[in-house]
Amino acid sequence: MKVLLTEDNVDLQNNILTYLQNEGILCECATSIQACQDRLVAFEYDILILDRMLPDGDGIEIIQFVKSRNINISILIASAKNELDDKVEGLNLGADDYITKPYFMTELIARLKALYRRNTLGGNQKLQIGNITIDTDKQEVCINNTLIPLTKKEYDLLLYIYANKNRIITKLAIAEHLWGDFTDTLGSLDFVYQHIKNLRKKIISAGGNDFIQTVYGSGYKYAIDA
Amino acid sequence: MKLVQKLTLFYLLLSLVVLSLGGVFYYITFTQLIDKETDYELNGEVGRLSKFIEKGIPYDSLTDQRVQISLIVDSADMHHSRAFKDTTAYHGPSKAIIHHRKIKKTVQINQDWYHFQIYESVIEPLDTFYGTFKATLVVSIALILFSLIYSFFVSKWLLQPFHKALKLIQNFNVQTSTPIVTEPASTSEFKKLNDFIENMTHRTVTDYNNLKEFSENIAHEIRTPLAIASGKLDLLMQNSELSEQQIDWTIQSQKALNKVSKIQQSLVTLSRIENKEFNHIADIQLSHMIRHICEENADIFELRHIHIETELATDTVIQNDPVLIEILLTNLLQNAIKHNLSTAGNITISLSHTKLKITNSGYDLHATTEILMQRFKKDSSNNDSIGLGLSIIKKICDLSNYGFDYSFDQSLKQHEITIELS
Repeated sequence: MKVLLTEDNVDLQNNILTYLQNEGILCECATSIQACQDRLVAFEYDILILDRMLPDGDGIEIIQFVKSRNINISILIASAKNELDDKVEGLNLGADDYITKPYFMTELIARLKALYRRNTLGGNQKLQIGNITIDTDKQEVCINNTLIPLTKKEYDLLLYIYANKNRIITKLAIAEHLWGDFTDTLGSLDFVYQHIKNLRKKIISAGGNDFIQTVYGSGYKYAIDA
Repeated sequence: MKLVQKLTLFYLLLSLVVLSLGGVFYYITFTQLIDKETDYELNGEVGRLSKFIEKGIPYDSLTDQRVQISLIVDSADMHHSRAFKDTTAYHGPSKAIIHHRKIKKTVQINQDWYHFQIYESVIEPLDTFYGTFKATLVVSIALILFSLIYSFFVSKWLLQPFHKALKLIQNFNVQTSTPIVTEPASTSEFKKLNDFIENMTHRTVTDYNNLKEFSENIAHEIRTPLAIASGKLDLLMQNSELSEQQIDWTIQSQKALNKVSKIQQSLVTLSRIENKEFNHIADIQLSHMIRHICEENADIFELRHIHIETELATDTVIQNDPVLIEILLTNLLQNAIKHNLSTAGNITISLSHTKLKITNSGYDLHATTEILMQRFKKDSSNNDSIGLGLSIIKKICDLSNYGFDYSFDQSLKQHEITIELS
């Protein structure tokens, strides 16, 4: 996966760059619309992470640039603007996804991988975790060719953990991923634990690998061990 | 009541008091003047009659109906005396007993003492009273008439700059970003007022624009450092050498950052609502939207053990910005979940053509519903809440001209929010 990051803040750029490199993702940076357009013309990328407020204008211009030149790239807007209408506007203009700053790196990775799967690999990917197969097209999970009935949230949770293989994921990041603005209404993050428990139960009872690992007894993080 | 009307009324009341007092004063002055004149005449007549007696004309030939002269026989210790008196007596020409003035005078003429009593008819006090009353009344009526005409002109011409300034203030809208420009006035007070209005609105507009710009910028300005901090914490957490305690601290820091970001987000939403940035009006099927939001969060109801019941009129259509209404409904539902019981809670949503009512079970309130509607005010028992949900709901209702009511039934422990849609 090759990513072009458009971000004018050096600190933020370094964060993302370091995290993506640790994840084994190739990432290059541009700090302005001009620099981004130059790179888009000269090189090929799979995904463009786009900040909206750039020193030489609104990042939206780049979307129009990409569309007018038929550049084959997925666009993920990463903006400080977190409003429904801004999201709708970005997506209507042709962006593939929208993420709001500040975001958890695990969330960014999950979004990038989902985009890569869907747009670059053509969507008919089957993911394998030991003997567990995830069909992202049909949104189905099988263990030894037996369909496991998962709820929408359990499926999302499984994919999220899969995307962040071998990374620590906090309960808060999971809660924000699954429930977004409604996270506050849960009152407690123990509900994340409950979801994880149900998911594990379903996998284990179907004979799947118990790949979700509770790191430290406190139950604050989960990791894949497969 | 208009200022001019009030001024005129007070002026008229004062004038009536003064005029009444003036009427009384006229009456007293008139009667005194008449008495004085009559007394002077009577005294003069005594003098003339005395002259006749002095010339030898017998005093009894001078007597008639109104003149009585008598010779005092016993004149020892006699001295000159004179007295005037009000009395009534028969008056020939008018054939009636009317008010008279009487002189009693004792004088010495050619060594003889004479006693004079002369009557003179005067104007009846009642006539004097009517006369002065009539005059005062005419003056009063004239005063009232002229005052009304005067007040009309004062209001039309003199107060015109004031009325114009008032109208400009009424029509002033800070969001249009145009300070008030007043018409020149010749009255110094109105000049000062106009200067003040111009300066004040100019400053208000500038302040408002600065504030608006600030709250627009703050999204970016705050979110970027937040994102940097959060990213560094993410990097830190992936360091395998961290102890459990250190990871816990990192997670706590992230939680705090997350909360800052939520508060900021809500504040930006509030200011955007206030700035009327949500103005893409469309027809909204409320029941669809409510059902959609409920379905999306069905698992939360299950997790929180909340029983949800909906009674939705399917043909309720409102005109508003769909994003704004989604924010409203989401906040309403989030509130109803957040402030619910931890077990066996319930939420009832009922929608009619004119009313949306959301009822939910909850714990005892420690604050009043009025206080909870203010920004950052929350019931102390709920720590996770940032306390802006209700402010957002209220703001949306205010700007959409929806009636809003929030009450808590102490006996049933039920929160109830009612929104009048018309």
